[in-house]
Amino acid sequence: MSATETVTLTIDGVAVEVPKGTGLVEAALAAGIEIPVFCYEPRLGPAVGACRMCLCQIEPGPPKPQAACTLTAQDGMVVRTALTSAVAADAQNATLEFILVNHPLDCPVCDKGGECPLQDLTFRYGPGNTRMTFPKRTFEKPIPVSPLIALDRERCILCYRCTRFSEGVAEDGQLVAVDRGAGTMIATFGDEPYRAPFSGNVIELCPVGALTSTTYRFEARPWEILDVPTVCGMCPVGCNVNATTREGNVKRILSRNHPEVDDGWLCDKGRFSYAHLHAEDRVCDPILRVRRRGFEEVSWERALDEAERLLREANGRIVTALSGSETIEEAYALGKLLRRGLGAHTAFFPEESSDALDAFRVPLSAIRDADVVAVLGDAPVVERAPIVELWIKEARRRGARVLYELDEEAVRGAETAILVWCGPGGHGGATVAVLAQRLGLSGAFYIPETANGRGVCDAWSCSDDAESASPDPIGLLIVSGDEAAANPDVRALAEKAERVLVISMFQGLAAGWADLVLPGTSYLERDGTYINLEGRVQRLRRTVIPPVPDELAWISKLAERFDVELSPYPALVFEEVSAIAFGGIPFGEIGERSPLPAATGASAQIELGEADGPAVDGGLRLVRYRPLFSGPAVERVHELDFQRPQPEAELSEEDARSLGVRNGEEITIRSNGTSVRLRARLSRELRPGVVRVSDDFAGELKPAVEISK
Amino acid sequence: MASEQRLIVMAGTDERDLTRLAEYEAIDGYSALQKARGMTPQAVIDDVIASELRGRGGAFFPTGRKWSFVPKPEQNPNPHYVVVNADESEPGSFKDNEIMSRVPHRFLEGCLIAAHAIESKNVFVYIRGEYTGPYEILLAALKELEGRPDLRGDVTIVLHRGAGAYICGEETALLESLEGKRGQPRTKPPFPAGQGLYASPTVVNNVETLATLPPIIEMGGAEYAKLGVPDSRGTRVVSISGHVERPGNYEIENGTSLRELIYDLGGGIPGGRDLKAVIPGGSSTVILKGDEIDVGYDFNSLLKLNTAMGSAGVVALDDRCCMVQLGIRISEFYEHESCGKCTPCREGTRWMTQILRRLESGEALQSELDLLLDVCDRINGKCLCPLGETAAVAVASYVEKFRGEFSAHVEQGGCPFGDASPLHDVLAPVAMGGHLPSAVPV
Ligand SMILES: Cc1cc2nc3c(=O)[nH]c(=O)nc-3n(C[C@H](O)[C@H](O)[C@H](O)COP(=O)(O)O)c2cc1C
Ligand code: SF4
Ligand code: SF4
Ligand code: SF4
Ligand code: FES
Repeated sequence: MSATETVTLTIDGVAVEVPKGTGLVEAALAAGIEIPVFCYEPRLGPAVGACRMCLCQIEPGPPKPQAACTLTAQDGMVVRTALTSAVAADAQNATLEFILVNHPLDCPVCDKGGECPLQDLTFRYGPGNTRMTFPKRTFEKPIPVSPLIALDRERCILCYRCTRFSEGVAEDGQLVAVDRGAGTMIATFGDEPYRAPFSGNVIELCPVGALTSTTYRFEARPWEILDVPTVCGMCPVGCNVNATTREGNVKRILSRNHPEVDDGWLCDKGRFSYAHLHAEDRVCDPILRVRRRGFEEVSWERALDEAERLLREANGRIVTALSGSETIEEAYALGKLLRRGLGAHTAFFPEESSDALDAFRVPLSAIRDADVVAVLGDAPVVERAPIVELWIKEARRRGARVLYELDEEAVRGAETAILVWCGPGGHGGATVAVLAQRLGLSGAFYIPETANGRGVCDAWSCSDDAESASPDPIGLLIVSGDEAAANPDVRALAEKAERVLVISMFQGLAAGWADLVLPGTSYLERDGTYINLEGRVQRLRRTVIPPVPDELAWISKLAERFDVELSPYPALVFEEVSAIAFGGIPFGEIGERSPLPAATGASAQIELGEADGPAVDGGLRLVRYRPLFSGPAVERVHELDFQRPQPEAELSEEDARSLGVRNGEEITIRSNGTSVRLRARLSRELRPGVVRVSDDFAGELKPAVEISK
Repeated sequence: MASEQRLIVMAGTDERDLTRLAEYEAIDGYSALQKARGMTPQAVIDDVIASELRGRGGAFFPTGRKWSFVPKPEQNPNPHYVVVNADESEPGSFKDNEIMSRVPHRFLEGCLIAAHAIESKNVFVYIRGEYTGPYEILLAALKELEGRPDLRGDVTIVLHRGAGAYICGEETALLESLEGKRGQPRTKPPFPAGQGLYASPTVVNNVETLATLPPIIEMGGAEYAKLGVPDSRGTRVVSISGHVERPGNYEIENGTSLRELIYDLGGGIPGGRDLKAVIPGGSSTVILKGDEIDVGYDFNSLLKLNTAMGSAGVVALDDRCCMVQLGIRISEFYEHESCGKCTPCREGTRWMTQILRRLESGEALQSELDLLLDVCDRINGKCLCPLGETAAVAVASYVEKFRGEFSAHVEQGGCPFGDASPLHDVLAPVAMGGHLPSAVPV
């Protein structure tokens, strides 16, 4: 292995050796020296040098101060920051004076106050007073950028971070700068609401209180909040987050950059769904169906008695429907109770899962560095695992070829190629593993539909070795979690079950069909672990105390009644699972930024189940997908309503051409006697022969469809 | 006074209407192109280096050297681009307008020579949106070239009209604008030579720079370098305006004295008034007092006075002009034209204007004069591009050279000149006047 080439430079008299290509800001950091910045943010692409906060005296170079953020470390460079250079100190002081001449300084009522880079840098580098005696620039305020984001324009320091994110990272192009000079303003394109899956990131990027979240605005001050590091449980990416809590309530979700997983970005679903914790229909007490009297709230003592009775009376004829959002510990505990205590081995999983891909395990960030990324499976990546879409976009910006159909020649010809499977079929990753093996690739991903489907499946199988035939008829159906409760297939099973026990957070999902409802908790309220789509085991932390006992607490109590030994503590439960599945790593060592386990050796023969989906000859194949902004939690956050999917159907440009359909035109999609009318949206990210419609609008359509105008 | 001009760029206009291809060919037009095409690209670059030609857009960078930074197609297989800066928007400057209007074919010939030198097949001419006249003339000239593949070769020339932003004359902002983005400068490096238009090798040159190429190739670089003075070779088309008898464009040999420009070519100050001050090279340059004009109009001589030829717009101001009012005019212009990308220029030019307006109103304190200078000082050297810097330097020079007049505004509680200060017709759109010899009525 060749050592990385390094350069040595001097910063404020401190010699520092850094890898070639290191930016000066980072090089200074390595020497323990701050170069203050506002506009600089390497994740947004090349430095723009706009704010002039980072001016330093640099040799070799022109005599005037240079924007350090735009330069990389060179051998022999001599950098002098405000610490040792009067020129740099004066330049930085000047920048701050200019920024402040039109800044309102309404810190006492600004949400950023106390965690504001402008406050901090002014304190460290700025003038102590102002020489500005003219009226400051003012604007109407706040301007609603969207139902989620407010803009206080007079606070904006025009660092262009938000617009660079919109244009160069999310590539939605909706946030723009209009007018020029001192009249420059941040605005949305055509003053339409900023409606895009990643919009919330601009709030975190904004170095001042110009862009604030409508849901956090005026809710807390930095000195009365507590950030709890955890991971997002809304999709299989498992972005690392901090949950900001105040007095026992989650007030906002911030990114907590895991450079291999999320690069510090979040989607709006993960960022804004936390309000579901306070949903109006949250189940806070167990609910029992009482003959002739309907449903009654009962005490936990009573509820556990009833649960015990239901379990015993079912006589082992129990089916457990899982959500894929349970923690590993919870799923293991349920499994241990039911399988060891009652011999009830039958589980209904939300989706197939496979360990075939473990041989091709690479971090998500490997997508960025690939030369070819083949996205297979036909479902939109952004709707299932939004951050993966950002990695793919970044790869494309860096020159990768992104294919939406398998071009084996291109894949074989690439130095590094990555496969991503997102869509129906796929056998939990086995299909793409077979492809990866055949093509000799080292990296492939399967994008499941649930946040912890893989973890739940593994935990369930760790909980016992025995098996049994599926019971018929079903004596008791246990519905674990809201996603299972909302799943039509689970509902159909319930029709056939004699008794139903539902664990759910929301009345709306649980009421009416269960004999017993036990209150559920959210991923933000539990301690435990998830496995994300890379195969990374990550720690969930209890960010707030839930209004109800968590699942592990009452499952362990129930287990006692069946002589099954089960700890109520996730750490201890995890150790049992870990001994079997994760090589015994202790709970405490998972860490805040968990590492990715090494890829396993390639499995000799990967088993594939039956073929994927029905073949469709003639016509088009309909791929329906669950939209990102859907599901029990999202539906309970009204600020997200505007993000719900539009009545659209995505078509490949090629099909659109042959059908004579233009972008935005109304089309009729027809199959077997049913039809829907939707707006056509042409997509370059769809192969010919496939049309994509979200579940919300696909109605009763079958997989083979025809399109007419 | 034609005898004091030296026609190189404008050669032949005194006898013919060179907007027409046939007329231009009649004086051996496009023969320099054929000659250049007979040379290797490197030989063309070498000849331009030998000519010591320096850019006429303002920065005065040696043209041949700039071209030599462009990677060869073997080093960078991306398309190579020649981009013409025809955005001419600096107050006081209107030379490119007349060059494009009068010698469009010489200009286009220069573009094709440049394309040959850097092995480019694509020329983009970014022309100021308001220049409808020159635009039509160039269109017509291009149409004539359409039918002449022997001249055009396999080079495509595209005219692109700007949308009214001075900053789009700054070469990297121009490239952004040409790419369809917001017209804001990029940080340098990377320089356009390596990563310009669409991140590909690009040469950006001024109209006059390009129009000078055919005569250089024709007479040979060494011959051209005999004209002018050291470091400022050849000729320059100078726009003379303001309080002179005969405002207009004049082509002079570099090094001609500023006094000659104003008093001989420009015909002196109307009404026999005194010359108070001269803006020597467009609004971006440090002002000269009326008694500082015995200086050669060339790079080195003007540098000694801390100023520059800039975009060659000479603006004469007579003794009735108020320097505070001039400051407001200039500062307002830069405030209005600041692209808003970098902090010191965006916020500083606005603040400068505010202070200047208060000075003019008579409500300012003496201390605000120092504040103004300090604001200028804090802008200067801190900006991303020269726009903000030159605004600060120019305005600061008015205060420094006419401090007494600024103080008088404070002491008298108002402007000593008031409405009598005749600035309304200065730096306004100027009739070019047709003082370049012309065979056809202008
Ligand atoms: C604010 C600003 C405006 C400019 N406007 C023009 C212009 O209108 N025309 C021009 O040729 N150069 C202009 N320049 C200079 C260009 O950036 C660049 O130096 C020039 O086009 C290079 O061509 P040359 O080497 O042939 O002079 C401007 C520079 C600045 C900073
Ligand atoms: S709104 Fe915030 S992020 Fe956007 S330009 Fe203004 S200060 Fe920067
Ligand atoms: S991408 Fe997935 S894990 Fe990340 S914030 Fe969104 S929902 Fe949560
Ligand atoms: S100096 Fe002015 S024009 Fe130039 S980049 Fe900065 S704001 Fe824009
Ligand atoms: S941080 Fe360097 S210019 Fe903004």
